[in-house]
Amino acid sequence: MNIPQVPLNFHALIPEICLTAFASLILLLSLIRINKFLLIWSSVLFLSFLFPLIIIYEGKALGEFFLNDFSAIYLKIIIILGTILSLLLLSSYLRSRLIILKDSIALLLFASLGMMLLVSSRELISFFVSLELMSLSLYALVAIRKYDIRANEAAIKYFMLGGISTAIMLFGIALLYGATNSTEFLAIFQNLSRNPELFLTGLGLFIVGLCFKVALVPFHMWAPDVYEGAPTPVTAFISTLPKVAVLGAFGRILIEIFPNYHAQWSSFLIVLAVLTILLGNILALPQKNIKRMLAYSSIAHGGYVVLGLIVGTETGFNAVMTYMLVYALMNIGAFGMVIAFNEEEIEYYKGLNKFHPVLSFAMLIFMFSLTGVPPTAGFIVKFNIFLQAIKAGYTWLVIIAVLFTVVSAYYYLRVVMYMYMKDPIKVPESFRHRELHIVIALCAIGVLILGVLPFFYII
Amino acid sequence: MSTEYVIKKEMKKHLLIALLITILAGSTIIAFGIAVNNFKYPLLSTLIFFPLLGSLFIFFISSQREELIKVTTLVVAIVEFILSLPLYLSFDKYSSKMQFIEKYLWIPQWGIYYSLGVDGISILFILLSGLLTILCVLVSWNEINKKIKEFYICLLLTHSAMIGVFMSLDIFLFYIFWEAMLIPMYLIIGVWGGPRRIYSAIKFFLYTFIGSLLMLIGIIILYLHTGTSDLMRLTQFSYPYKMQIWLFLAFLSAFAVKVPMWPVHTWLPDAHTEAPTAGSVILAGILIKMGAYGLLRFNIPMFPEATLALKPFMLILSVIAIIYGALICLVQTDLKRLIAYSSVSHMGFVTLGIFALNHQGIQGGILQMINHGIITGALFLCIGIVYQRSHTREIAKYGGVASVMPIYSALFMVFLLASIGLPGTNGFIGEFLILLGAFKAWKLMSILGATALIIGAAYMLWLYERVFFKKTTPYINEHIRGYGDLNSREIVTLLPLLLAVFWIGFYPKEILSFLDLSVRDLLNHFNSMIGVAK
Repeated sequence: MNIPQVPLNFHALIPEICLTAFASLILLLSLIRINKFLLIWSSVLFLSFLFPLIIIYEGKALGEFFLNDFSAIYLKIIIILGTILSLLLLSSYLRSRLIILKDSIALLLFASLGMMLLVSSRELISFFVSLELMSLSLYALVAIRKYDIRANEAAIKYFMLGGISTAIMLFGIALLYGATNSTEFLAIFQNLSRNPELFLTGLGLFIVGLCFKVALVPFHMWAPDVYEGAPTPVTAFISTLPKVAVLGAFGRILIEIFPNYHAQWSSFLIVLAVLTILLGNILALPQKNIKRMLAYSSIAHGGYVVLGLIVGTETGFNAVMTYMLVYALMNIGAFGMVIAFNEEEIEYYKGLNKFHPVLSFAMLIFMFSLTGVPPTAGFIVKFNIFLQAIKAGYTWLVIIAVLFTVVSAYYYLRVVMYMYMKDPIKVPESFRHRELHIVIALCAIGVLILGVLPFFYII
Repeated sequence: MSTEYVIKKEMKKHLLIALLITILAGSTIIAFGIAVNNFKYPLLSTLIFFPLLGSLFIFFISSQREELIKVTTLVVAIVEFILSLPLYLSFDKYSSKMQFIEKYLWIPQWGIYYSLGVDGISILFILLSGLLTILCVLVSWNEINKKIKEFYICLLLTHSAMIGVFMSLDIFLFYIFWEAMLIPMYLIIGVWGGPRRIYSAIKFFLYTFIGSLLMLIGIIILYLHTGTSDLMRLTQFSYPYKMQIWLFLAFLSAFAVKVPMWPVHTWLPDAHTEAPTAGSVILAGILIKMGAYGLLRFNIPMFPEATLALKPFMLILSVIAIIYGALICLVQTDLKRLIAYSSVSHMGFVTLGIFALNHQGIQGGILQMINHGIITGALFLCIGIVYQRSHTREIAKYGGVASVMPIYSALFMVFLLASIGLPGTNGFIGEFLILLGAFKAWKLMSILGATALIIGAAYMLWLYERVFFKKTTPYINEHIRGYGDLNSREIVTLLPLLLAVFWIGFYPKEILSFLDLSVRDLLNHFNSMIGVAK
């Protein structure tokens, strides 16, 4: 293999380089004592400083290896926004439990670095490395509470199944390389037809690996246990942003590189999407633990998103990205509420409205948004996905999705019903943190505003 | 005693201030509205957003200050109604076009407009909705005694969303309002309702939601087929026959649930029965009219061939609803449930009139919607008033109320007779027109519908006998005698509806003149589309 001369151009990588430097700095800082407040807010400040950087440094880096184009920028903005929100959640959660913050902040930042690289990478090896950077940081994050047995169990499970999926995906990558003699996306695209059987096997394994990460049925087994066991802010993070990044990267690869094989991969994904929407929603119904319920709901949402990918066009992918933005807001917001009430059993949400009228109103907004009822943003993005799917001729798929949206209304509304319509069975010991309230307020207002003024973010 | 006195005094002060503000604001607005007829201001947006602002304001009032919250809501509701009067005063009856149009680009990516407008059909519902919301505030004054702030916020939000449904000229905007209304209504039934409120609220939500989502698919298909979501332009296309049938059914699934037509009516008795009085009034008065309005606005003008093909089917469903609803009423033991089932029957008349597809039928159908809103609204108010005293809706526990509450009994009688359709009341005009129209369309259906009127008279009069005559039961003696007859607030609540009953009953021309051209236009459009297809 001849090694090509790659023009070194680091401009487009500058945001990622800055993030790497900052995350490493935070790791170093864990050696000395530092004011927690300062640490948290400087991280937030730094992350928000990344927004303009990402937008400014549009372009390619390292030849064709790294591309920061419009879709990547959009996805990265979601990722950073989500990271800021999760960071605030995590800090308020950990501070109340007196757990050391610095490592967890660094892990969080490394995970989001991995995601940012993931959505930009245009080459299989760097794709894989950034995916692993993300995954490994997440495994460690799940186990951030060292003495929590449930969290440790979750971390082990996550790690084992994540390892398997990685292995499968790596095998797929190897086959793809074998079939096309290249790891660069462009070159793969050009050499597709050389060895179709080998190539299709590789593609299949590659997709399976990714489906593991996104927790599509039947590769979802790890998700409920991990989501339930992990500390709640970590759950908020891992049930949202890796999906954004992986589905984003996934979609780009499928749509840009394998458009000629659309019939093959879309028929595979259709099966997965139907299964995911069906099982995700049905299994969420009997859940008594709100984290578990939200876990199944996030699996089901993965199914709706895949509907957008199945379309296989640029507009379909745009619908996916907008869905991701809103999904990040409402999901993180909902998990923020779980942290605020510090209660996992749905039973104990009864009558919460009496004690926390504003917070339960925010929860109401999130629940209706997750259901997809206007005027919340959840409706707009769901509409967008359905619009694209029907446009591509998948009306029957949309009908299935719609019927199961009604099923989902039942379990989302059950939370609202408990909060507003039942008498309290215990006084919630809520803990109040400024950061937490900021996150919830941002998410709730965001969901409403994005629902009423969709022209901001619809592409 | 002294604190009570202070509270009363403070309340009077509040009321006085509120009244003053209302009158001042009202008169300026009316003057303004009439003067402004030439230079347009966004009247319809004002109507939608004013209650929203009001509820936002109430959101920031401390929930301890209950009187202030109630008075604020009342003022908002009254001002809102006064704001809607310019609609009535400067509406051009001699034009069938949409009026007071507002159109702004809303989502340029999809070419969706925020566009509002009213014609002769929708204007009536907006006015009725304004009136009923005021009455709802009044009737809830003492009835709602928990989470007062939330209740009035929900009430105002429901009002905004409802009138939004009647105003929107963009199918997407229509859907947003249509669905948004579910949230506050779900809460009103579920939080402040009776013993089985949670079951009813969820049933209401899920029934409506599934219908709406099927309509959403229809909307998307329509939008993709034509590339526009503008209602006025959508009616200009002629769609392939097969597509028309499917789309008709998709839209019907949403509207039939709302109307409610047999056999998807089962949410209605539960929701009506369990909702608080204000919720029942809104449900019966406005909300279920949205379904029939949707049929008129979407199904008939957009899918004329499908309408014609499915007309017998729709007429049969309507007649089944009429007879079935009336028969079920005969065996009810619960006051509210009886009125709820009578709604099923009466809404059957509405759809019967609409799908007669002639001028009298449609006009009668729309008039009957208004009538039903007034009459059933009033009946629910009446039941709410007596329920507050007796805390029971069991008919068997009542008896001899007439001797305890004479004024109340007289008013109830008027509304009841209007509901039966006695000449001189508004119910007669509507039902007469509908039967006339239906007779032209399909004689058998008209005859069957007319027989149901007899059952209607039977269950209503029997109800009246059981509740108001006979000997006064000890239960009634114990619970109602102490409270006496209607107080002034309750009389004020019922009076406007009483006037409306007789006004429409004796002089329907005023209302019909609003409808005349719009209905004619609708039918002309319908016939010309059929003609094109042939």
